[in-house]
Amino acid sequence: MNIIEKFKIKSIKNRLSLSYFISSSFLLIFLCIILYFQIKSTILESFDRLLHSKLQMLTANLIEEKGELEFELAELKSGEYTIKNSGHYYKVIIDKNIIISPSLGKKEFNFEEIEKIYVDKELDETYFSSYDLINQEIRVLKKTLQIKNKKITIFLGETLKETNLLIKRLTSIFYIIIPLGIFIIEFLGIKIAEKGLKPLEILSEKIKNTSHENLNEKLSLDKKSEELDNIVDSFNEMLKKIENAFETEKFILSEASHYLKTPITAIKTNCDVILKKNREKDEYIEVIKKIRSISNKINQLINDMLSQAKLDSEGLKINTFSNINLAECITNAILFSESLALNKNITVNFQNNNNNIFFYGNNEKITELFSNIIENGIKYNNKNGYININLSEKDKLIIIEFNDNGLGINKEDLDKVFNRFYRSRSINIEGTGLGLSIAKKIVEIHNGKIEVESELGKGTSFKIIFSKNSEK
Amino acid sequence: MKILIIEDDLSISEILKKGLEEEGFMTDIANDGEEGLYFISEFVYDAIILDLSLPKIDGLDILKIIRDKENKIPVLILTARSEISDKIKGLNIGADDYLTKPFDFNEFLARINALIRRSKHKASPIIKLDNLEININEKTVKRNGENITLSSKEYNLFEYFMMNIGRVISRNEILEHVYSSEFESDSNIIDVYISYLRNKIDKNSETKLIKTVRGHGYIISA
Repeated sequence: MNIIEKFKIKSIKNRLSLSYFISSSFLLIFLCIILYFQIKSTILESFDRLLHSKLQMLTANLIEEKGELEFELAELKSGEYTIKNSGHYYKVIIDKNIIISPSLGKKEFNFEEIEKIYVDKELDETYFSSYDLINQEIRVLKKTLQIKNKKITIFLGETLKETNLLIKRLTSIFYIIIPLGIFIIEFLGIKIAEKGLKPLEILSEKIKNTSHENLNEKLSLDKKSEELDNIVDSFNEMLKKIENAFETEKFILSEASHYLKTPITAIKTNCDVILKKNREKDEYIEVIKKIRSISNKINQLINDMLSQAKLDSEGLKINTFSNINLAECITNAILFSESLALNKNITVNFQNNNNNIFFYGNNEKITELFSNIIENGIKYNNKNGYININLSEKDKLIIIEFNDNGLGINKEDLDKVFNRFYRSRSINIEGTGLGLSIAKKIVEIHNGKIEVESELGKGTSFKIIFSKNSEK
Repeated sequence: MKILIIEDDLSISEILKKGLEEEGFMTDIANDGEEGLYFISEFVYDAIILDLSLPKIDGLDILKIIRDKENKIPVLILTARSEISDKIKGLNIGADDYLTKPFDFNEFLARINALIRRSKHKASPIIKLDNLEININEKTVKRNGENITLSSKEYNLFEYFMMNIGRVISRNEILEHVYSSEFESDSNIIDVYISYLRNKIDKNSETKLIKTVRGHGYIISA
């Protein structure tokens, strides 16, 4: 891994194939080395066994003649032992009597111990390596026997020429196998990494092609895999959220521009018409007043839209929450809408018989909520109408009710009253169509519920339910 | 010319009414789709100005209902939506023209005039009958190449005649399309204006173009 970090290989594919390559190559080399030594030692062991069995044959030829120990040499004096430097040698020392194979030539030849290989103490046999007269490596078995007070030392030498050749061949096979193996491993590694990462590549390509224009196109992979499916699912979920946000934004923007264009059209057309010819002063004044009132409406619309957008995007920060007295909020809200109520001579009744109901929330927004509902009740009411407000506590709930004897709402429109820009426009009433939508948002932010009931021509009642969340 | 304005925003419909009436049009205002359809079924208009987003019945639905009844009345759509697709949709359903809010009032007038002219099969703003001609854009009248000056009420009546050459026009129709409710329908105001018109247009010529069809009304023809 250090190497990988060192070379700063950024592609997962390359990292995967490199780590696979390194580990597999090490394993291959390691296996080859073990195999080499194993085979080599097996070959040499069998060579040693050959030496041992030849020694058995040699000792079997030891015969007693005239009280003297002697070799029945007839068999040993023929064959390979008689050809000079054949690589098959023996030397027997019985006391001081040295018998030597003809292949060895000189009697004085000593098997010089170059490397001791193995000593069998039980049988008193020593295996070591040495060189013969022509400097070929030989393996020698030396055995010392004691027969009838006579010390016999037998040296048996066999050339390693063929064996070494065999081992050499083996080594050269490994020299071919290892690089070839490494090459195959590397090739396979890259292929496996490529294949394994192919879905990731497809995924990345698909994600690359995703933009705000095709948010509705879900990602999908042809082949299923648990890890990637999770990514795909999460990504699709994210897409959906973004798409929703986009849609809402688009909707608000289009609605907003639509609703702003209407008053602007009114202003512009008023100007166009009034400027078409010379007019009396009074006419100009009338139009200017009209434009002023339309401008106020535009301003109100923009304020409401901003307020709504802010609530949508930020919600309310918890640090703006405090324990608020709900009766106080209602009283303030009534005060805010007083002038509107006075215009239509509408009575807003609030029986404040419980000044002790507290709620943990945003004072300003809760007051805005109440005032929006009261203003709605005033706007959609007849002259001399009333709004009754009731604040109560029940079990763990706080209930605020607003009942009016106003115009009422159509049954089919009832579920739309909280929609943005919805206005019951069968009646021409000033308003931005955002008041109740903002009210609902505020209630939701405070984990409350708002319900509406209405009968056309009789009146409307709004019910806000909060869960108690504060200590007195 | 009588125009129906179907628009839910009072501040817009009122100023359109004022502007159109100053140009000699008669107007009715419908505040929602239902009212609009009612007016269309009860009265005859020369053109309809239709807002698309209306309470109760949507503007496009109104248009569809009108066209399904094979009513060929020219319709000018007014809407705050400026997407091309909306325009195409409106025109496909059978709107004759389309204006996006906010619009220029003069352009609005020109389009209304063109729509009405086209619906009466008058391609050019200059309509000729014998040696009489009217320029609807410039609101001028000539006979034998000489300018004739008409009061606005006379002009409105004359323009309506010229738009309907060769067709008998009843007094009621004139009342509905040319004069507003300020006149009682049984008053003889029509006769008065017809005589004014005859005085200015036919008096100095041998061919009398404005004729009375007894029991039915009037006709202008060569």
